[in-house]
Amino acid sequence: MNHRERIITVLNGGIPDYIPTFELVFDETERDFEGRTWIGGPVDPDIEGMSYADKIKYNAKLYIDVAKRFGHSMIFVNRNLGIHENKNETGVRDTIMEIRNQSGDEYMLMCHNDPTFMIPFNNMEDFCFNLMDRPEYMHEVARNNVKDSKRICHEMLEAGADGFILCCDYCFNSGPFISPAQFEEFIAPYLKEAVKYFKNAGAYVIKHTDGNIMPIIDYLIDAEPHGLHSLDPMAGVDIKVIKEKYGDKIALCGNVDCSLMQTGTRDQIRDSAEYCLKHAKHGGGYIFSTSNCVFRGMPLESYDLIHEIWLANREY
Amino acid sequence: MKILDTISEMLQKGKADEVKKLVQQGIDEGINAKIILEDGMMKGMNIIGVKFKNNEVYVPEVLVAARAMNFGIETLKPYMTEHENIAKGKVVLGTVVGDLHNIGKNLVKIMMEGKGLEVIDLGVDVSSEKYIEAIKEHQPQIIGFSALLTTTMINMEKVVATIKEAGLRDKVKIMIGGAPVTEEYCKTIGADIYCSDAASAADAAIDVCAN
Ligand code: B12
Repeated sequence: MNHRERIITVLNGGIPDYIPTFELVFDETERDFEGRTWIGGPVDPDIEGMSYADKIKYNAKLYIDVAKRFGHSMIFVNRNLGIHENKNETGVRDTIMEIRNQSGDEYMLMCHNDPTFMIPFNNMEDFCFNLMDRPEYMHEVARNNVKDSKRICHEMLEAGADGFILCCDYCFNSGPFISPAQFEEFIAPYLKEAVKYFKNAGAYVIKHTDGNIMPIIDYLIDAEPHGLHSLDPMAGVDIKVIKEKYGDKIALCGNVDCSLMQTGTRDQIRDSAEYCLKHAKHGGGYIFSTSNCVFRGMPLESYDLIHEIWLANREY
Repeated sequence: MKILDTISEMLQKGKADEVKKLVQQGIDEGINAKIILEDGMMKGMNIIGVKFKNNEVYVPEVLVAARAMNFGIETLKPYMTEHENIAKGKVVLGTVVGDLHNIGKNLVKIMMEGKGLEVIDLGVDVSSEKYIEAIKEHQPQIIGFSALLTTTMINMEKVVATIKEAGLRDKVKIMIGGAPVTEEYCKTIGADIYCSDAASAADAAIDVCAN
């Protein structure tokens, strides 16, 4: 079973040879990768004079090297080349093609493609006022976003992606950013439509969102993605509860507390990782990962620790 | 008075035009501007704050209520005496350096303004120097730091230290908040007040300013 097959088995609810792992974002790369950092990432490397094609090769190689080093079965192309992106914005697509080029079918390869509304980066006010004052307009925006995502779907699958991780965040620690009623009206139907379309096109789909998803989880399950990521314990999401209630409907990914990986003791981090493996491993359908990502500034000793725990417990 | 209850109700529903109309009607009926503000609008905003804390309403509802409040205040302003116009206190708020999260901080600002405090918002990614400058310039009773990342939360400690070094520590109360922040952390770094949500932050700020 190669890495890709392992993830496909899990996303189809099956039991692989061992629990696969991956990270949505891995931004602490200097220590283990000869000082290399992501082009377009938080710390741009010195790439004076590098051609576009070489930049793509550089990031593609770093994605593969991270996966190899930490035994990741899935690679998520989480960013384009940022300020070094070309005019046509083909960075993600070209990175996907290059990763396939360099590693064949070894890894499950995913990218962004979420057409739904999310917690706005800025201009929360405009978004909310539109939602409250101009519902018809917002439905039109939502419909257009879904239309675009269908086009992107084919483009990325043709480039060699296996599917999508839908990364629009819906929840704060306290719960959804809009009421469950507004969620049902403005997000749920569009999420469902997009997921259905992507799956029909042959894509695998994992829905990601931060925060306390419990008030809206039924809508997420109802959209029928293959998997659900990041299950944040900081927001009170308990993988044991989710596994019991929804484990036969959806594959689960995450739940190792990434906040503790910055502020907690080794024992707390160990407990979190072991808890996830203990309660999500049985019956398959689990991908081990942090409850968000390996963000800039996270001490890598924390990641080393959960990696060791995974190695020791991953076998079925 | 029934009209004050209606103002509070309409404000909670975010009906800005209604609030504006009712406020004008109240004035025309001879109700004191300060009473309309406190027993009508602020009362409504308070209820929204508590409901938000209890997950009974969400950010959009809070924002439209705040918008209705602003409409009402604009209508009231010409009828407030200079004395009534004076805020109950002054707060400087900002998200600490390295951190771009502002949704929580903005809600704190809204709730504080809803209680009649003047809030100076320094935005996000605010350096220690900027906080110091703002304390000197605005002389607030309270300075508030927000942080959402465990990696930036530690910068709060640095700002507290810088404020001490600048000899300004006894001039302001330091209030902190944001998802990873705790009461314990507040004590550890020598800040004064921790609040876990916007409504409590506004209450605590009013307490400080009243003393
Ligand atoms: C929205 C969001 C973003 C948006 C921010 C948009 C914006 N304009 O704010 C964007 C997409 C930009 C973003 C970026 C990032 N984010 Co972010 N983000 C979130 C998210 C989903 C919600 C945060 C939020 O707005 N909460 C809602 C508000 C209302 O809550 P709050 O801020 O806590 O505020 C309340 C109280 O705390 C209090 N309060 C707040 N401030 C203050 C101040 C005072 C003085 C007082 C008294 C009280 C108080 O009152 C508020 C209202 O009741 C959280 C997930 C989560 N589960 O919370 C992640 C989260 C905070 N982000 C996270 C990360 C890792 C990042 C990134 C590093 C991701 C990346 N790889 O690039 C970047 C960092 C960017 C930067 N340098 O800051 C992590 C942090 C992990 C950690 N341990 O540090 C979280 C927890 C996600 C996770 N599951 O791990 N993010």
